Amino acid sequence: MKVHDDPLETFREEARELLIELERALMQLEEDPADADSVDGAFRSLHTIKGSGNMFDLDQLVSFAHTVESVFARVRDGDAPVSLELVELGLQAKDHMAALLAEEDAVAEGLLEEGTDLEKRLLALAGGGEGSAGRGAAGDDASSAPTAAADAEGARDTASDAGAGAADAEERTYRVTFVPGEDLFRTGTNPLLLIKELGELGSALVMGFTDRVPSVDAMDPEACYISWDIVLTSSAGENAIRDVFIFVEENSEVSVELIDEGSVLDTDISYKRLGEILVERGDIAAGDLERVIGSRDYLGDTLVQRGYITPERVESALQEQQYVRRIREQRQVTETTSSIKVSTEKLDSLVNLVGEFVSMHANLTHRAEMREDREFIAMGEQMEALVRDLRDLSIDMHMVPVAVLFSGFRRLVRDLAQDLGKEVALQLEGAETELDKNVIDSLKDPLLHIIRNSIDHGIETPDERRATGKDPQGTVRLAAYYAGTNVIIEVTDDGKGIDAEKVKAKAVEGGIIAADADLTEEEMLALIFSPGFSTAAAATNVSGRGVGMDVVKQNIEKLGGTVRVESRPAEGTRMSLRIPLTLAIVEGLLARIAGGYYLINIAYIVECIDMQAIKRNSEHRIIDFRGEVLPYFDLRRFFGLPPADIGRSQLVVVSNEDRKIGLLVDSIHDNYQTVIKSLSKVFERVEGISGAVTLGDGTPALMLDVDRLVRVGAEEVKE
Amino acid sequence: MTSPRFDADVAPPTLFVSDELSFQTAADICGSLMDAFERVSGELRIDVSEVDSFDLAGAQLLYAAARTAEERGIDLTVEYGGNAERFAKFYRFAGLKPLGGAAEGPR
Repeated sequence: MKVHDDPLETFREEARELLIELERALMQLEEDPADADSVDGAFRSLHTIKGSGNMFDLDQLVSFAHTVESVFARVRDGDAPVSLELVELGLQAKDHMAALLAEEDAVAEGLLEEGTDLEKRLLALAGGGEGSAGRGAAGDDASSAPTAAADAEGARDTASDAGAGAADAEERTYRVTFVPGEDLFRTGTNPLLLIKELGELGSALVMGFTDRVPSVDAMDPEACYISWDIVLTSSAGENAIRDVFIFVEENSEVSVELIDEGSVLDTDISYKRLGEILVERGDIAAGDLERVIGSRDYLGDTLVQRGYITPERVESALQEQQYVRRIREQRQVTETTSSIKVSTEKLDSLVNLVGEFVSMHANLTHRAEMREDREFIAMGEQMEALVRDLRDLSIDMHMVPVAVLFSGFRRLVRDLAQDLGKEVALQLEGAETELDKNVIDSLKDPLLHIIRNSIDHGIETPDERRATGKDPQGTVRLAAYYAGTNVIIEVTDDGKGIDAEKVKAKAVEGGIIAADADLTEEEMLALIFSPGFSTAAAATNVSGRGVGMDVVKQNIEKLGGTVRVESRPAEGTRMSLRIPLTLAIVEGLLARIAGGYYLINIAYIVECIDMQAIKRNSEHRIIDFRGEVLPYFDLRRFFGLPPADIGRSQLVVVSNEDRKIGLLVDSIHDNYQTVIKSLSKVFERVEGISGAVTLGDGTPALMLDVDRLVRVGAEEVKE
Repeated sequence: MTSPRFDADVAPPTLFVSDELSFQTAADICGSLMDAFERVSGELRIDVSEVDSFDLAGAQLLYAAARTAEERGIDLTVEYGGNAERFAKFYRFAGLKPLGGAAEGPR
């Protein structure tokens, strides 16, 4: 969060964060209407917005927040039910408050009518409840409410203990399933003693099941029919857990499954969906789940009504869900309370200064070596470790988990799917992966566009999916992971995919390529990134206006990244974004070309070779690189500089993972760490240059856009 | 050990279990429960307020009784009396859904 000099701006920033919390609570209530914590969370967010807004005389916002708060107070007190309608209105109320926050004036005339209308609908819903009587959780859950509340309370207490201990990074949460053999009592074993012993390893949520207990006339009174799932948070490790059951494992079923690793961030608080837990535990078959997944009623109720599962199993799965969410929330609270807020501007300044310092140190060392000044050389070496630590620390401070970015897409997917009449589940993976804050900010729009395209053009309607034997609910998977000095972000959908031949035909029709162009499938698919390209039969208000994917590509390339698309018709599409970890400081190799300085990002460099020492074919610009034919690219020629004797040049072999190529430079100087500055407008369109740097002595140097050069070089060779 | 006693003259008809509700007495109590179910229609109460000791095998009988009652359409209540807190604690510890009023009063 930014800290502003203007307290009102600080409030606005905080209120926006609270609205995100509110949205998260509402989305959770949509999934689990009995989740009392989410009701409390929604109430707290609204209460804080109202209280803080009062200090700034934001009467319209305060009054509206007060109304919504009063509705959630009724829900919290059990006087009004949670219904899908309430969730929907709550989300609209959240959007309305966001709009009020964006207004400069305390009274936004244009929003008055909308606010009044929302207030009326909310009050009608919470007051009489007629609007929600048709469906919703309250009616469905009413019979089980007292029990559920009591159980939730129990789970809360236990999870609270777990959360306190969860600060320990070693702690993990397991699901231990214990189904005693029927003769367990006869062997003199008391299963409760095993559960007690298990509980001593950490904090446990114990859930017993009586659904195998038969009627009195069918039972063997000395047999054990009760079984358990125990969710255990412990640092003891899996072996210690299994050891508890060592004397009974021969005639009992015992399984230990890791369900929470203790390193989950923000968006992952949501844990697994109810259906996933039930299938994972073996409570229901995946097929049974699929049969009810399209139903608009709450999953647990539907499964029970259709006789697939007992209420006891559903309740325990919900308890497990709440337990894991709670320990994740508490872990997050523990993490956030041990930190302070610093404005991103200050962090940017710090990184900038550290970068300058790094450059200055490099120059100092260089000059000391030139002068052969041993005292300064020794000092420079001592400073090097400090400078490196300082650099790493400042970069680290600028890193934030992509969870910050991913969390915003939940609502987008929900709303888009609803608007388009589709069923879409969003799966998030690797949300803890960290990226430079500035990179994350710049990724929002491109990702937004890709996800929109996936849902609009990729995922089919439920009927279409059923007709092709697919699950009526489509999936969009958003994943992030590290790959060297880059982060890969993938958006994968299981929709209808892209037909490469169709793309090519459309590109020919649009004059983007010649009709006889010989393209590989990858190249055909890459045509979707061409300006003005669109295969959508009709433009929708979601996507498909023929602009977008080219802008996505441009934006990613501005970040020094790349984007590629893979797709299989009828199976789905994957967009992969390769993004550098940080934009702030890069380590590069300083090279000279025609008297100028150029920096090559060290992450791309494979090797440096003296051209005198290698066999080459100057006509075809290829060399023999360890028995491999390697094309090279004369940078003097590329930048329109006068030619030089190639035999006296140096070759820097670079690779962007897809391809390898040699870049011909006059000479190589040294490794250099520096801060990249944006280019002025004059240089922005110079192909092959991605930024500028200032060397320690003030000399300017240009940063080579290696990705671009590799692609251009490869195309030249192909021609 | 005292065998369970069935009293059809009280309302509702009640099976009184005393002393011990455990693995050792499970077979005997199970037999008494079967008899009791044969003799009632509509309602049955199991009174465990005089039970001194109980274990999981004993508690399991109550769940079996609940299943039987459900199958036969009989309204079953469990009277815990002064044992309510002990049973509630036991159910909580074993992670079992409180049966017939241990936590909230008779069902």
